[in-house]
Amino acid sequence: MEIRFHSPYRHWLVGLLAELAVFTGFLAVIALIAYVASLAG
Amino acid sequence: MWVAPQKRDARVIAHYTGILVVGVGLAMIVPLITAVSLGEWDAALDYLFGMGIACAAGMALALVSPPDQPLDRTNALIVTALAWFAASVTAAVPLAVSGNYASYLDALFDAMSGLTTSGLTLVQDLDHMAYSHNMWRHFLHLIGGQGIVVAAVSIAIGLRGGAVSLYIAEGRDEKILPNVMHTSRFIWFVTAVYVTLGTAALAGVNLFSGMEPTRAGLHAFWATVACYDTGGFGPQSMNALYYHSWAFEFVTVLLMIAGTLNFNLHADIWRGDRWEIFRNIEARAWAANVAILSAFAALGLGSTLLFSDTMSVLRKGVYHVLSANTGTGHQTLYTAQWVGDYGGLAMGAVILAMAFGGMASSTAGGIKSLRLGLIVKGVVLRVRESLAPSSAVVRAKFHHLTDRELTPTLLDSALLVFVLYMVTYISGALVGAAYGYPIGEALFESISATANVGLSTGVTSPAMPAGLKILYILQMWAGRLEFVALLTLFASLVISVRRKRSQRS
Repeated sequence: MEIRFHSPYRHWLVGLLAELAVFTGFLAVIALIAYVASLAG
Repeated sequence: MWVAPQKRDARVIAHYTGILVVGVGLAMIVPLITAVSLGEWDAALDYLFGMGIACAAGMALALVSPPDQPLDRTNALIVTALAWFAASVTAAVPLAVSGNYASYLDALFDAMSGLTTSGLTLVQDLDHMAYSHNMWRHFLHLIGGQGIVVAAVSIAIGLRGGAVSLYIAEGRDEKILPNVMHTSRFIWFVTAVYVTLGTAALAGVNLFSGMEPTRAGLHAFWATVACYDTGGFGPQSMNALYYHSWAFEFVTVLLMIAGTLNFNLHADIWRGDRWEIFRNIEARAWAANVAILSAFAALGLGSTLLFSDTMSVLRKGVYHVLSANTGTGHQTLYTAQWVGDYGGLAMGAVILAMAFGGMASSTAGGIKSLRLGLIVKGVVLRVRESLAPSSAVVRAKFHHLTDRELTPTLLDSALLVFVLYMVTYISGALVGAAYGYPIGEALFESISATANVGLSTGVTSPAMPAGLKILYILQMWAGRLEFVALLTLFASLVISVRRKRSQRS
């Protein structure tokens, strides 16, 4: 029988990294939108 | 029905307010240690004095008024409202005797600004302020942002009956975890992780820029706390402009976004539900809000003389929309540039970003994107109702942590808070204009104070009239509490006065 230990720290670390990835991606999208808008300005 | 507060209610309120005041006094150990470590002996005396006053006054309140009943919801609202004021009055003491403020009122202004995570300041000669005083100003962001009440729940009150009521009154009325203690501990845990990472990253940036290590570390910690707790204080008079670093601005923007994220979303993501952030109405409304306002700011800056290049559009446009919308208030402009060089359209976008605000259950201020999302849903619902056959039942659903139905009660609550914010924004602007400031700048400053942002066109200064200082203190206080707790406090005071008058007559 295999026994697995589930540590909340692994979930939290992955969650933190996921948040940072989403924030960075969001900033990239906003920067692109702002760049395009500035060209029209 | 209006229920007049009884003497035993006053005892409960005084007791819990006293505990919170003692807590603020004990928190002064942090700047005291900073002062002693760095040999700032005058400042150390300021904090010993402040601790003495806070502990004596707080213990007197708490011990003289032993409560003989648990804290109910109404009293919890009053304690919450009073706590911010009592804590500010206490926290202002060491600042007032520091020599960096023209008067006690100016120090009180900064203490309220710090605790409500606003960031407007009346400090003088900031560039030469003692490290320990800067530590206290920024530490106020941390204890205020994470909630004096939550701190009290975690540390002082424990699991006694009042804890849950206090937590709800704080404006964070959704349970993240089943137990209120676990919830406040989770909030502190997420904060500790972000503050540690942010401080390390910014210290690296500062060291790379050539700062000496102690200064680099302290500035990094202060900037991290100011951004993650969406506060906005800075240790330099030029604020974020002082660093002239795109890396500094990138890290601080990440911290601002993390700080404005609803703690429920943090909890969901950290526990494995990664897709909640994409489904959530609040996150969607916030993202759309920032995208649209960034586009308008960029469009406006594109036609200016100074800020039309791509890097300026990002570092002066998008940065300020995010700083405004998250309620942080860090700025990379000289205050005079808002009016002189920034352009009307871009400034309008920043004003709207401040007014709308970040997410609920976070340290951000303003109307909040959850309410805006619900109001937009409500408008769409009304249009659909008017187009549907009379026999049809039209409903609107939204996803916020779970699938929910948009009820008239929810919509009314969102609209009520929206109206209260708008009335306060405009009233403050009119008072500012009455004092002789241009209406645009008065509106900017009024929204900045009420939405706990901290951006300033220069109206907020030690030279501004005392009446305006008091008004902004009230606006920061009211905005932080989203009005209800403060209105409850004033209503109970009015009822008490009326009851006493009727008893005499």
